[in-house]
Amino acid sequence: MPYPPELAEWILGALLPLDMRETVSGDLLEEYRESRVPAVGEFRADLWYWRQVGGMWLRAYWWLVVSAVFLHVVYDVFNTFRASSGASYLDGRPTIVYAVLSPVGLVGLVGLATAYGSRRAGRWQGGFAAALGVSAIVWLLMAAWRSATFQPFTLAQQANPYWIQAWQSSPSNETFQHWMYWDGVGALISAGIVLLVASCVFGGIAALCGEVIVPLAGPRGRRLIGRVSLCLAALLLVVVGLTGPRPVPPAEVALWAATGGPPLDFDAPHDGRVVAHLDLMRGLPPDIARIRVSESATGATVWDVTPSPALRVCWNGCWNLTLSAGPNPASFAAGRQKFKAVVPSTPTFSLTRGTAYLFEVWDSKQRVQRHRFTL
Amino acid sequence: MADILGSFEQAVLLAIVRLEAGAYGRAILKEVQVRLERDVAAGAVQATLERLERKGLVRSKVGSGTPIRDGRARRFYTVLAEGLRALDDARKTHESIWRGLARPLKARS
Repeated sequence: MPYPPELAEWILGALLPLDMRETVSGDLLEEYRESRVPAVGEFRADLWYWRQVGGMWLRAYWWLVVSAVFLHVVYDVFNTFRASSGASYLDGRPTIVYAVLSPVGLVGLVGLATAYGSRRAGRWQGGFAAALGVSAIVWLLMAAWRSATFQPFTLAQQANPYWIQAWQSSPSNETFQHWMYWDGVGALISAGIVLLVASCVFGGIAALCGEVIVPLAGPRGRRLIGRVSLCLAALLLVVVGLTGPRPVPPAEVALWAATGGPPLDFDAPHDGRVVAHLDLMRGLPPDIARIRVSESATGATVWDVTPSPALRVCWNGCWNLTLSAGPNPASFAAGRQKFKAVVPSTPTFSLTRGTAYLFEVWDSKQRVQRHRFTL
Repeated sequence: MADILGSFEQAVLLAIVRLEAGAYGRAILKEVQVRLERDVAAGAVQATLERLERKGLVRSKVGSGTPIRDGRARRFYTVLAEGLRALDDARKTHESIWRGLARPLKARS
């Protein structure tokens, strides 16, 4: 006797509530074997089976897909269309609004899909099927949205200082449209990876609860686990919503502490200038013990400064150092901190266009970060 | 006053009435397809049956399976008195809104 596709059967099993699983899958199997295969052949009968499973999936989870696409569209519109100053219209709104509309909200929805899918099907596989399905469909719709809006959105973006600055900071010499296109492709790939990882993480948590923790507990324990999980999930969503992107800097600090060296991020040089960012997400001041610039080719030190006193302070929002072709001040004040030049002994040092330099920065634990640049 | 039924709900309920003791998922699907003269998604019928059961218009009972479905159980449906009343109301409404009109309708020139 012919059998429908195994994966489709697995998805159907993961999708249906416990009391409907056997009867509904039996109905589909009977129709598949008795009517579809004899009438149209196995291949088209398989397609029919997939269509039925897809339809049942959409009936159960369409509202999650619609919510996720809505969040993405609203976020994209606010990110694209900005005030003439380049500021976002979301600036100044409560953090929760920003967090819900940002990719954090999208990941939260994948978590919600997992919880709802697990609960609806009464098994952890239901959570996986829901989260992976929502992620895959939303990702495809994001790609379609991106393609449909690329031209009109790019026209609006190339007149806004925020996007012009972002374009000028990119390392390559691309046209604005070309840069926007590849920026969009990169964002889409990142979104796909994030959604896939979120699905696997949330699905894994559901699997752990469903396979390990719940079977160990009695009926009362299971009810308690269910309630506690729901409360924890709600608490997590509220905490993420309230804190928004704030957990990112501490995460970066943790990464920085693990990998070593002060944070260092260079803008692309343009118009004979380059900006070195030494802060953490423009929020946390760095721990700087020494900065040195030397010529890459000869190793000759061009500039070498140490701070006094050793403080962590924000300056120039929060710690952005601009280096220009031509004379630069050798010693400078960064808020309450004074950076005094060891090299050179003159009040200024000069950088020249076309020369490759090595920028090095040490923290108080003598960990160093390096970046090469050419003005 | 019985619940107002949509046309698809009426088709599913009438299929159960016609099939009597043999009204299980796949048989209902076939009957609805024959009556509506179009391919109908199994999920649509399933969702309608679940809704009708929630509304208290039908009742279901799990019965034995058959070899063609690898012995998987069948869910048999019966229309309750409330469901029959809803069907009668729907028919009355239908007849009332058509009363006095000749069929098929002709466009005025």
